Amino acid sequence: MTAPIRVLLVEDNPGDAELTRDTLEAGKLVLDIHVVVDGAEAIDFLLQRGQHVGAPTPDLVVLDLNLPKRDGREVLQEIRRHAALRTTPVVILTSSDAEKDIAQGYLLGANCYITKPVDLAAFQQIVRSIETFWFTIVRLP
Amino acid sequence: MVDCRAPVGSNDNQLGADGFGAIATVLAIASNPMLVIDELGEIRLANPPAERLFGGALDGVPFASVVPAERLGRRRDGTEFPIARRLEPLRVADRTLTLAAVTDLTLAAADHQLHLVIEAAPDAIVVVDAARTIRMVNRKAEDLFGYARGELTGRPLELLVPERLRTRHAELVAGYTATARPMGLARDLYGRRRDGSEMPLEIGLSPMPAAEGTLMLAAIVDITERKAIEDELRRSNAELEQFAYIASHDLQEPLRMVASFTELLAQRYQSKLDERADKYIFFAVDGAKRMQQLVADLLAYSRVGSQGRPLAPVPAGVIVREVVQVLGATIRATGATIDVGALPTVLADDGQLRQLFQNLIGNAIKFRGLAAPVVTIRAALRDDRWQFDVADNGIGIDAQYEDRIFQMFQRLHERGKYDGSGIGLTIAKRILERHGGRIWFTSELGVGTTFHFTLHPVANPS
Repeated sequence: MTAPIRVLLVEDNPGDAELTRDTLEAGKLVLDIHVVVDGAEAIDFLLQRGQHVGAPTPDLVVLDLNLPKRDGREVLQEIRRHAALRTTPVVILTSSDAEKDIAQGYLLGANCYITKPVDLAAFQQIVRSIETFWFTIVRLP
Repeated sequence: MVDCRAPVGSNDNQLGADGFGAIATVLAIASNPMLVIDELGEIRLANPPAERLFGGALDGVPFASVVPAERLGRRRDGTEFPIARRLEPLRVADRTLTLAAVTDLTLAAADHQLHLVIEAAPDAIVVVDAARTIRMVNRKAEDLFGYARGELTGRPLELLVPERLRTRHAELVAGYTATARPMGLARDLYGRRRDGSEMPLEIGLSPMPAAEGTLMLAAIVDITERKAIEDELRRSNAELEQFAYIASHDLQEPLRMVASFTELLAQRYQSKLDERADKYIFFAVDGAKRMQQLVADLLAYSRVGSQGRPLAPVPAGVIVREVVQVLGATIRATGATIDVGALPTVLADDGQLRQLFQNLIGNAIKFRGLAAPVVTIRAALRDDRWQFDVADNGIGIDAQYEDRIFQMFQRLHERGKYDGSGIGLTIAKRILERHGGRIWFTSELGVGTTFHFTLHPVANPS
């Protein structure tokens, strides 16, 4: 049996976290999903420090932009600063559809930028696409 | 008293037979209209100014036909005008004639009437000459500025202008006087009362030709109250728009949770509980979805004002082609025909123009009758605006709903028959308001509806 794929979900809205987790878990793949609720905690998790000493290095980060404490942009900058994390794929999943946020997201090194759809079916579809694309289609290092 | 003898000797105008000739000579050189009338009341002698005044030869004409009343003159062509007349008995030989001097009061009467009109005007009126000296004010102007008219006439106009604005005001007035064109309404002007307080004014200027050069007539309205109301309206409109935006934007997030989880509930537990639970779930999902639609529509509406782009030349034909493409699936599904005439380039926000056409063409197809929809789009220059007509052969709109049709979330049909929340025409109207145009419709039930709207043409570069 292959090791489960580790996903770090950075999402302050517990509802969205639950929807994402629920959809991912309903898929065929075996996933190990971790949820953190703010930017500071996300950075601790990724750098394996504070309460997250010994945390696993995720295979994929799903990142919201508007987060308490340190926002998604800072988390993204932090990820791209560390050699060990530089190649980790980051998917921005946010409610913002502002051009400025999209451009900045890519500039900071996001691998893709997705606006949360309003509709549940569309949301589930997108989460499943993320799963399929990153874990079955692309080859990761 | 007139005495034609020279030198004058007596008080009664007694002349010899040749005195008549002397009278004729005097009349001929007099610059005022003068006449000699005989005992029968007929005119025997009239000087050139008199003939000019009455418009024709007067010899033998009854005096009463040219001066039918004490203050009335009647020209030979029958037109009447105000006069003053003076009559003097005149003895020539043994006859007693009458010498009449007539003064044309047309101009004086006009002047008098002008005074009456100015005095009775509902606005404060100040008349100034080219040197910006106040020549005339009316009662309302006295009240408005707190001066008696004696304190204003003959004084410089600057008296009524706040000190801080005097230089600029002098330039402005000079500019208008120089061009002598009627100035519409100047905005953001201020006046100074006798007590030194200021007030915002609206001033309409019109030049008035007069004997002593062009005078400027200023009709002045104190707009303190109107300005306050306008400011308040602007503020409350902006607040309302902001409120609509924030409400709709921030409502989306929690609403998305409600909708998503009721739907998830439906996905997971539909038909796993009892029938009643299924019904509850259905109503919850349906309500949440409807509210999502309303909130999204409200957001779209508030974005017309808050996120519009500046108006620029936009070819309407290209926009309509794009919209027809977007609506392609609907057009094919309903077998609709979209007949687009030659459309002009107009001054618009292209995104909003697209939305406008999408709403109108979409409606034209949505509210179709039994026949396949035929939508005709035409434009024509009316006065200085382009008028667009989007005509359909649909079910038509009952005239009694004319007022409701553009109101937010007003639907004329029961839910389920036609989808949509009733925001489309509200947005259309809002878009046109932003573009300085208007929208209205003509319709016949069962025959079709034509929506008309106007847009500004692209200004001529010359």
